[in-house]
Amino acid sequence: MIELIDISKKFNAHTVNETTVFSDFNFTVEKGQFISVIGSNGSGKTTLLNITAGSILPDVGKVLLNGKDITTQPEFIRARRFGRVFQDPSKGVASNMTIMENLSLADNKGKMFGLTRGVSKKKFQEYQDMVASIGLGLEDKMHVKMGALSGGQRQSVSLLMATMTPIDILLLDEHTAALDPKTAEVVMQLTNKIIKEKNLTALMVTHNLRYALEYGNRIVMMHQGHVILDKKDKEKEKLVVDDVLNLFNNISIEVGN
Amino acid sequence: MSLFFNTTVSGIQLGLCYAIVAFGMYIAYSILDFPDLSTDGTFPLGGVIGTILLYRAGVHPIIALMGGFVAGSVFGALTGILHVKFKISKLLSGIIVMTALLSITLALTTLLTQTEYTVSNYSYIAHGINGLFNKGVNKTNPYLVIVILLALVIVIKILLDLFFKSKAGMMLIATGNNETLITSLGKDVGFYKILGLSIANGLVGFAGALYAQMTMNYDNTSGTGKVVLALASVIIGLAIFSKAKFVKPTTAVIVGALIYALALNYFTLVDKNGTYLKLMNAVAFALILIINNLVKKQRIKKKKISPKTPTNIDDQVMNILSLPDKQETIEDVPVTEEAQS
Repeated sequence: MIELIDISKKFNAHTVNETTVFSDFNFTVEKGQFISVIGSNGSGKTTLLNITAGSILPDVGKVLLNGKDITTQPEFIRARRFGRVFQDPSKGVASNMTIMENLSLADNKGKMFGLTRGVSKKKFQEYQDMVASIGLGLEDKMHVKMGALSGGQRQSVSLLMATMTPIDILLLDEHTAALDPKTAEVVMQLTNKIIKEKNLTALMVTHNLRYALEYGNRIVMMHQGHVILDKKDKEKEKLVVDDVLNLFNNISIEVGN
Repeated sequence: MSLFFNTTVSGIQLGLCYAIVAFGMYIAYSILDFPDLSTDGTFPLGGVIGTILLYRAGVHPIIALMGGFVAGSVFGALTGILHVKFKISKLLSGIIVMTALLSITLALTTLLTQTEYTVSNYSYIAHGINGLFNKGVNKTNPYLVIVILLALVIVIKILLDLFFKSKAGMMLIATGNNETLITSLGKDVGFYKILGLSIANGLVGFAGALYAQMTMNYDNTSGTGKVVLALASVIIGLAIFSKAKFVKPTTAVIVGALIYALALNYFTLVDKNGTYLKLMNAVAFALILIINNLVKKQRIKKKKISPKTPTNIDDQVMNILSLPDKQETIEDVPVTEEAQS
């Protein structure tokens, strides 16, 4: 469904700080896959996500969505068919607006933002039920400003917002990394639930090896711009933490981490 | 006493007129975080366009005000385009447009004189221009002036409040709050910045045209100091009502503009020639910023520091990935147990 073809990307080109993240990198996301991407710092996993989302352009190569070339399509146009949750909980929501207002904006994604009323009272019940389904008790806080909520609560609402309208793929950018372990668990379970219920295709970058193994149907480990482990479905289920850990330790020693 | 009373009346008139400038600055500065210096240029631009429309096209005074709005919004959009499309910094984009407008407004006065000569002042009374507040030499009663101004300000306030509740208005507010969200919603952030600056300067142009009709005189230098004045009004207004959540920011801004305009007007009782008015403007603004910052600091101190959860990602990685010899860490991982058993 999404194909990255012969991607090359350098940062700080022609300076002493030049770093090559990818050279001739290829990656394919199939419909219905829930992919966890792990890897050390600088392995290119975040760059992979950013190139897919259009936040950064590759130096060379193509990005295809359902066979259509979207390499140079602006991020905001691509975003109409993408959902994205960021590491920073404040990035997915408008913190000076209420939960109700945020959900209303998200619900209108891809449509005209004209002069009609931004918040529809008719939709209140629908949104409230949606928020109640997260199970964090936010249904009584529909008119509370987003900024007053905790990171985990904001991240949960971000997830709802990113998946409210039909999307081709959900991009999860280390979305539990800024949360405490317990909250991260709740958000991760919610993520899994939403992906399953809506039958979404998802690409999740994570630092948490356990999540990568426990959730999703495909695991990808990256190292210095290459995929060094790629297992899906049955093969993935057979993987145990030790296997992946050993591999990770080996590459860590290699680069002297 | 009578002098003091008259100063109060004219202060209220000025304050109501400046409230519309402050509405513009509220959009630019408070919502979009864009201290828009083009305000100093779009204010007299609205004045000259409004005056030309009244004098040469003979339109209704309200239409002349609308003309001021349109002219201001065009140049506001220009400021936005310079910033968004050409990546010029916020302050410099404003300065460029403001400087250009110094010449443009002056050049436009040739349409008033209908000669090659420009003028810095153009009196409505002397040239028989009828504005909202005068018919020939007959001036409207100052109290009625206040009523008319108040009506205009309230209409604009209500329109703005309605706009902020619309989908487009909410997107504008969200733009200043979180640009990433706008992109995620599939919209161009740049568009909303340009739109916001366009509306902001439209309001300033409207106020400029209104100011000319109110003073019955177009003054080419009337823009000087309007940025500071508008910023001060916005900051005072929002600071006063920062705890009263039920007061809409637009209402707060009107109060701020009235306070600031009255204060400056009372100062003219002391400084009769107006020599130090701009200095007073600057000093007052500096004081407002200093006090505002001090109050904010106090509030932050008062807030209890909430126990921060560990967010260090490296720590989490170390725990889960790099330290296999730590037995507890591994036991935390249920997958391992299941898979191994």
